[in-house]
Amino acid sequence: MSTPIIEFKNVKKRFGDTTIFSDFNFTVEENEIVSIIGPSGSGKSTLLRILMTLEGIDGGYINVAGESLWHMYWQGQYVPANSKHLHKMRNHLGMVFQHFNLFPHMSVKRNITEAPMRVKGMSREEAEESAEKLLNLVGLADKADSYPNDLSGGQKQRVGIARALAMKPSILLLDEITSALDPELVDEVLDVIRNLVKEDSFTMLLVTHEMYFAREISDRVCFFDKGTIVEEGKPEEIFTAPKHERTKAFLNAYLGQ
Amino acid sequence: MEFGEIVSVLLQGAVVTIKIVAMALPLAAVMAFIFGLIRLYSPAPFKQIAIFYIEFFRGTSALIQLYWIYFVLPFFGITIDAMTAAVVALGLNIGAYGTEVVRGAVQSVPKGQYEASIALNFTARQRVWRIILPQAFVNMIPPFGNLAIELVKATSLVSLITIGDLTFKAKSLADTTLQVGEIFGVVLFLYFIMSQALALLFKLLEKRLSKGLGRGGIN
Repeated sequence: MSTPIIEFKNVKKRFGDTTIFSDFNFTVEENEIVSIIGPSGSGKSTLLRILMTLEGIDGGYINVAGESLWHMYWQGQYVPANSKHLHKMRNHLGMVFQHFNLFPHMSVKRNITEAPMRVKGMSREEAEESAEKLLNLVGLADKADSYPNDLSGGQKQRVGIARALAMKPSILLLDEITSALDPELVDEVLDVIRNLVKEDSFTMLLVTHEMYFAREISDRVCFFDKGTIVEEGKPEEIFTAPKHERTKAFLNAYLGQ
Repeated sequence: MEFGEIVSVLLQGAVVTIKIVAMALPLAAVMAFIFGLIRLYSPAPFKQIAIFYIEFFRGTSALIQLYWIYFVLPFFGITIDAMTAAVVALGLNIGAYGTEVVRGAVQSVPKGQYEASIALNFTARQRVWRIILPQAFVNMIPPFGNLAIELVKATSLVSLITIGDLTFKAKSLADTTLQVGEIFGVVLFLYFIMSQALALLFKLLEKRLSKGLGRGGIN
């Protein structure tokens, strides 16, 4: 078996007095699509936010693409990562947010081209060409010059996906990307992800409440509760024959079975 | 004294007042930005200096600050003319309030904007200059407009360090002619016009910037 692209070892994470992870272990293989489901407050989003370096950790370590994420090797020992190391590590990762977080002062096109140009040093022509392709992919070619506030929620999120993809991350993190959308707009966003996965292989980690989507798209589903993975396995196993009582209760509540 | 004469003397004073505002306002804006950004982003010792500046100039009387700069500094070998003293004192005073405007506007940019800029791997400097400040700037304009009006009104203090501003002219006219009703009526009107003109200017600026920012700001 190859080395996992993501590896959490004995990770600890606290927010004040609240412990999110006391001793968390987790791995993701390259090109694996993993869905994380579970009740709110169970640490699902925190997992993604730690990977995106939006939250630090209080113990343990994390490897991404064979290198420590939150630590770096310095003078013969591991020390907390500095901003240069984090900058390097973030190149592996891209994230799509629940609330889109598009830049309201930039056109759709600039939302997508700004980071490739400023961070990766891509030329304007190259960045705009790539943005055009991505906007085609998400079905918004005609919105390049619009501003985020003129778009619907579903359109905003499709721009959010295009913006993350423009940086060509090897790992894509999707944090409840349809939770803030009106029900009729959910499918247009999920369809983008479906197409994406069909066209290319991705390592993808998604936190979602869309159970049918998770079942359809994932290689593996993890059920989270109180900072631990209670149960994980192939989607068919988890959704049709959950073993753990808590998984059963959660799925019953969600799917009304 | 003829009403026309009164008005023409007062207008001379108003020109001096406008000059002081025109110089002190940019100074205040520069101070607000520099110390606002230091307060937000720099390491502890610099932050302490910024906090001291803000609290000192907000926490003491503008008139006494003016007296210090004009009357007391000469004892320490620093002599500056009345006009410069007026501009410096008022600029620093209003700038201290402006610092908090800058800070508030930056902090009012949603946290998600900052997180998205990290996820896209912008450097710390790029995050501030390309993502946060352009959005914060629009939010600063209305409170800055308020401060500009505060500045116009505060300029009347400079009459106490021998500058012939609107208030100074009014007082000397009143002393010689005793036509207080007409004189102070015109003075009120002139201050009001100046404040309104500034308010309008800031409204236009806000409108213009919101548009440039792709209606990201307030309408």
